[in-house]
Amino acid sequence: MTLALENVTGGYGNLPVIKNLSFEVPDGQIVGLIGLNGAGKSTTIKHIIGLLTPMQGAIKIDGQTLAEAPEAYRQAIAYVPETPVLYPELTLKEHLELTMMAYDLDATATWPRVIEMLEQFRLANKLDWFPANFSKGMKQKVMIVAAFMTNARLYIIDEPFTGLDPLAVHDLLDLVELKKQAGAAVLMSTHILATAQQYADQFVLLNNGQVRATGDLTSLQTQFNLADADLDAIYMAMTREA
Amino acid sequence: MGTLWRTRLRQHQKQQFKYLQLVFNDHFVLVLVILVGALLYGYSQLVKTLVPAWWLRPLLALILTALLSFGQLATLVAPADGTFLLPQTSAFAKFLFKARRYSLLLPSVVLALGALASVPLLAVLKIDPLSGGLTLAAALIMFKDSDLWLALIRSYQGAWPIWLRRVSLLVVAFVSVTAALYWHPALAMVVALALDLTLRWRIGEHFAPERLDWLTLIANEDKRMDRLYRFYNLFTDVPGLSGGVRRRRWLDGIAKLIRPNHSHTWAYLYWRGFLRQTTYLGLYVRLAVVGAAVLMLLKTWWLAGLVGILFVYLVGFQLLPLAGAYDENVFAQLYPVPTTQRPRAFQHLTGVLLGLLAVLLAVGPALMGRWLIAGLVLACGAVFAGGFAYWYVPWRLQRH
Repeated sequence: MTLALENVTGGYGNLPVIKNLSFEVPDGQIVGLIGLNGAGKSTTIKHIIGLLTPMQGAIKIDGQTLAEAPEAYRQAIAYVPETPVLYPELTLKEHLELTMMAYDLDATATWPRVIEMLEQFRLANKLDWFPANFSKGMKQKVMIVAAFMTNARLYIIDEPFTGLDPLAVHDLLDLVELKKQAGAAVLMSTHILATAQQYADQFVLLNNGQVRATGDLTSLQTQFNLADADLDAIYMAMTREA
Repeated sequence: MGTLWRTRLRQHQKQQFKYLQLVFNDHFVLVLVILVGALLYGYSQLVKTLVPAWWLRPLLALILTALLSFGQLATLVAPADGTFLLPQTSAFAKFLFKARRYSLLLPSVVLALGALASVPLLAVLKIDPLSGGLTLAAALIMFKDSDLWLALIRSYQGAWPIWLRRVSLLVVAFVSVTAALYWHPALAMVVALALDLTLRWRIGEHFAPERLDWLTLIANEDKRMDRLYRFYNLFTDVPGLSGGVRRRRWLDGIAKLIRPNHSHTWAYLYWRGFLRQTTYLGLYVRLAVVGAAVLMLLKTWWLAGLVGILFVYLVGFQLLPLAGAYDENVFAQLYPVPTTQRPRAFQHLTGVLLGLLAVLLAVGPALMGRWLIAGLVLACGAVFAGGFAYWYVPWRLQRH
């Protein structure tokens, strides 16, 4: 069991945004985190990566919380944020080198893999540039390469498809699939429901900071009494409930 | 337009005042008072030894011309003006004239002070200090007036002759001031007056509303404010100012000295930040050069030691914002790196940079052959650097 949220309540200051969340992201599975704007997706992710501390409940990776084993916990996570976050004074090559240093990766073993990804994303000839001046999509690709070079056990990808060209979307999904086959857990928040339905093994539907439903598509169809409905129809049904 | 100018000016002044209060905080005022005192003392000692050598006149003229280049046209134009005030372009000239007159204020004070400072040198050159100083000040201010007219006319599109630019004005000013120092200061004043009057007489017809170049006007004001905020940013945090970054490939050799392994993650980041963010390295080099130059002039051992410590303190203080430079970056908090690594990396950076600064400062007196003072500056600077980096910095980082 890679990631487990147990009755997590949390938010900013004293105001709870997410209430009593419980769900799991098992090894070798892609879990789609689905919800409206403001449903609490990003807040949930911020709690998981450790930017926010839960007011109640516990978040565990391989049975340990961040407080119990800070470095092991952080080592286990790779994160692709919704908006690219880059160092203005580092070149592309230095961003990747820094990530290797931070995650204590062996440079000689990692670089060939990195170069392969860069070529896939058509960034290999820009190693000496400042990615801070790249376009939104190219920045997003840098974040993806930095995250997927690690040997993380859990990949957290926040709205990965905005700004990416269709080719890059497919390349990203291939990378995710590879990591999944290697046994990693993937949590992906998105609004692109068709893609989510196609690639995710399970879904967590968030509504007003609470888990409305979890499970695979068949299970969701039963829970919402909508036989043969696609994720889009289920999502619309959920929004009408409130 | 008059009302618009007044509200703009009030807003501008309110904001500048807010920043100036932060710039001239208690430490800095103290440092400044000591520094100005040291400079005046050094200057008075220097004047006593001066004889009217051949280079004295051109040098003085050069310094005064350099002062003349200080201060630009402050239009206080906001980027939105180009859209919202576009229909008012004809009336806008009035706003710009007011802006020009306001821009003359601060440079006039600086030039008057410059003329005042050159009074002892006028005495050395056997020119009557009182009348000479006054005429010189008047000439310089009139040159500045012409300079600002030129700056204003440049915001209007037109086929200006190639020589009608700032550089030519500065050359004329330099030549006439040099000549004035040989013969009589009134010469510079006559040239300045003639220039200013001609300019005003001929320039009026060029302010045709349809020629106002809004984009250049806005871009210039943006650039000016950016420089100003960058200056304030040396002393305090200016919101919204993301200090620039330069690639500086030639410094990669230094950056590569940090071994790329897990335990140097933060050192890797901090050193590259120091070398490539425009704020830090430039400031470090400037203060090192100025400090070494000041120390070259000082012969009193205790004063030299004090000034050495002062410069180490100044630079150290300016390095502090770098500690928090990556707070906004999520990944800085996500890296699986021990939390103690970050403050330690920053302490090490400060220690190395300030230690090196002590060496650079000691080069000043060493060049003059004052080995004792050089050794003293080195020792004082190094001890202070160690204390700052390994005692003050951790305390300060903990407090924030």
